[in-house]
Amino acid sequence: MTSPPRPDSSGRSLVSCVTACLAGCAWLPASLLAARTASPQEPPPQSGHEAPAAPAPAPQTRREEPFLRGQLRSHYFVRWTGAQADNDLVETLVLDAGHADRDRVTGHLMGRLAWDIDGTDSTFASLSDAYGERVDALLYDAWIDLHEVSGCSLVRLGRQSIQETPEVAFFDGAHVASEEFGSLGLQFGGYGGVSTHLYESSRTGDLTAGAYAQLRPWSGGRLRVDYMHLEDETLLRSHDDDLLAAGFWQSLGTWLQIDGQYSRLGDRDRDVQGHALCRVPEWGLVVRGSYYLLLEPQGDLVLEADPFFNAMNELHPYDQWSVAVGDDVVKSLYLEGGADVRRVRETADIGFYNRDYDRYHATARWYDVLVTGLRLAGTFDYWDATEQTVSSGGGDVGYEFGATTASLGTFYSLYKFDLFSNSERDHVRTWFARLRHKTSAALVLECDYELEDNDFDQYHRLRLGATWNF
Amino acid sequence: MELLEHTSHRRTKLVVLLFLGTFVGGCAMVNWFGTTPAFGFSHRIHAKEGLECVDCHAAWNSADNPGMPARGGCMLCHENIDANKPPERHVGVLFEGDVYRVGHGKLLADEILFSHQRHATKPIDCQACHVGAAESDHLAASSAAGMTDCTACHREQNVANECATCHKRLRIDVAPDSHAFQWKKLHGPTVRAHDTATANNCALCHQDEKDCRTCHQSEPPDNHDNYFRIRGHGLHARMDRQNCAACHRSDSCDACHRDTRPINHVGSFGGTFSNHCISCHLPLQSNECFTCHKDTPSHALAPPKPPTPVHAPGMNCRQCHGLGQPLPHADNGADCNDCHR
Repeated sequence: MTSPPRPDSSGRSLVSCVTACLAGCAWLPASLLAARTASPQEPPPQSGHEAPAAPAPAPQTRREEPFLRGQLRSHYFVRWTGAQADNDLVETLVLDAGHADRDRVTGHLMGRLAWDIDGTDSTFASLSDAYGERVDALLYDAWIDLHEVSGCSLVRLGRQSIQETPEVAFFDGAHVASEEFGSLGLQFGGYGGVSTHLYESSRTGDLTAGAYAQLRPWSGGRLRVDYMHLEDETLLRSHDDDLLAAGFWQSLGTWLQIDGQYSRLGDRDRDVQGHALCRVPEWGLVVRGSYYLLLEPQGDLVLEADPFFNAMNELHPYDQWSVAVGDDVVKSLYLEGGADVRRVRETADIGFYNRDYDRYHATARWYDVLVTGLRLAGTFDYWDATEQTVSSGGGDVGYEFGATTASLGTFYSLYKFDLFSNSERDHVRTWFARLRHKTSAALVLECDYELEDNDFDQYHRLRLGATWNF
Repeated sequence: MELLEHTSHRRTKLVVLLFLGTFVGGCAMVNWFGTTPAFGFSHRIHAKEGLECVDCHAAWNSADNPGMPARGGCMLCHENIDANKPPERHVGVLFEGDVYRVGHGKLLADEILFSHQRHATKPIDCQACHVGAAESDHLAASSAAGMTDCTACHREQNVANECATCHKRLRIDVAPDSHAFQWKKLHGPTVRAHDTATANNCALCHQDEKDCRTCHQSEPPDNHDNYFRIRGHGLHARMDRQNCAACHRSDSCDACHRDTRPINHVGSFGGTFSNHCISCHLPLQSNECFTCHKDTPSHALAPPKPPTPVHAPGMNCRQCHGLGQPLPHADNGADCNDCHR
């Protein structure tokens, strides 16, 4: 087997250099600067409404924020099992320039760089190693916004993504949205550009374009219609798909929110979904439910709508119901439980990659147990799918003292599945210890160790991290 | 064994359903039984009698806390009014000693900074925050102004609207209690719920989806451990592939799988005596071999059946070939026609 061609080589190598330089140049002075300019730690929590403490130092307002600001996250990982080890450094840089309320142009950049320090080791191979190079850099966002453009609420140019479209639009191009017009709050928008497919080798023949309209015809309500055109060309195939979607969102009083969406792919229905969220603040109660119906089989499609066809074949129609209930039983105890049920519509479609399942999950969090700052948490998750069950449970205990939080916990998963004879059982037990220290409002240091004992081997992971907000 | 396991699954399901049922039922019962009005102070009756807020909350414009009525003050009128009432409906039951047993006055968390005095200097009517209080017999928690009301008013009045204006401890750069530990494992459902309740509203501090990316693009979720990397991801994807689609598209699957053989493809896997054939002789489309092997080129190399009348479809191959002898195939001739066409 050979390594696939380096994806989008022009973009990635350039990105690689830029991000590497940015991360490298920024990290050392940043750490020093953060240590020197760190503001004092926020005051410890006070109690008693009648005797308020001295006011906490107010966070910077937008106007006081510097023109260039952002976050740099650095994480160094070392993993080892037996005599094999792997050292990685991952840098994530987020930069924001300018302020929408006072600058005509603002910008945003986000990129990630993963450096396999000691070279690729197949024992710990992962997605970052798929191209056989030690440095893997990805550029997720790089856009500028033009403000004060007449009639427009948004003019964005560059690499960007839109989450509200029927499929997430991720592209290099332009997105323009009008202001809201009239009493109905009518708004139009359009976008277009070259699709961003991070792991493909060529951008030729890839296109993302679309338009949408939305309005707020009555109190608490919103309607939206979307059209999306996607083109995707790969070595062995090329696709050209159109998506049409309509949705509504409605708040009923302060306690209930509902929404629903419908979409079509080409000339066929695709799916219908609805969600409801009910909150009763007096009881600390939150109930949420949802329903999803996939109407037609989804096969080989453009990457954005692809149901992982190459790996898992067709996705067949199914119904899925979900419900979850959470409640602050008492002031310091929060419980949540829920269930998801999926049923493939046609029994004949049930197979290796299209399964019925029931999933149950529960979570409990208990704060200030015995002493202030001591916390317990437990979680349980159980999947019962056709010929396969996965059950997981875990808990940890944490203690917060001043600016430091320490926690210790364990997690256990049992995978039972049918590899030919329904006899496979895999056990995964994880122990972890974590330490997080906030040296200032700008700098957070983290250290954690994890021991994973599964049926293949024992793995150790030590992670050192620093997050600098500037 | 299978029966035992099946019974165990059913029992687990039953326990979980019972737990959820009890939980929901309990909440419903609290609702139904808790709505019976108990004896308490009625703002409606007193407002109708012409009393002003200041008559009971004397410190409303001179202290942070507006103050509660004193027993002596109530008794000025109630000494006569209560004379003919049963003892449990005397105004005295609302007091412990001389201190009013207040319910709603404690609605503000200790962490909140609020001063009636400061607000009294502004032209704000009491009803602007205490909506419906004057018409209420039993002041409900929901009648108090919430954070949305406070921030909206502050915005309109162009006064400070930062977190620290009202919160002693919570700020945009200080994580709430819920984030203290195991949050990495637990936050998914809260985020996906798009809850706007203050305690669960991510957007209060995380003002753009780029906040999610900042973490998720630099480190994977906690359940993406080594087992997950090697085998677990496949098991989860078989059940709910759309979950993967939250972060991944299929190009990332291809990126790894083109280079990485499954962990069981070692040694003699794939040889003619290997048991792997057993799975291939099931309908090809429904098993995992098809994930990578869209066709089966090695099987196409099998010698075709000779074109003689005896090799008609439906013939029992084993009648002539290797009668009583083992065949060099793992399936021992159950499905010869799959390859020898």
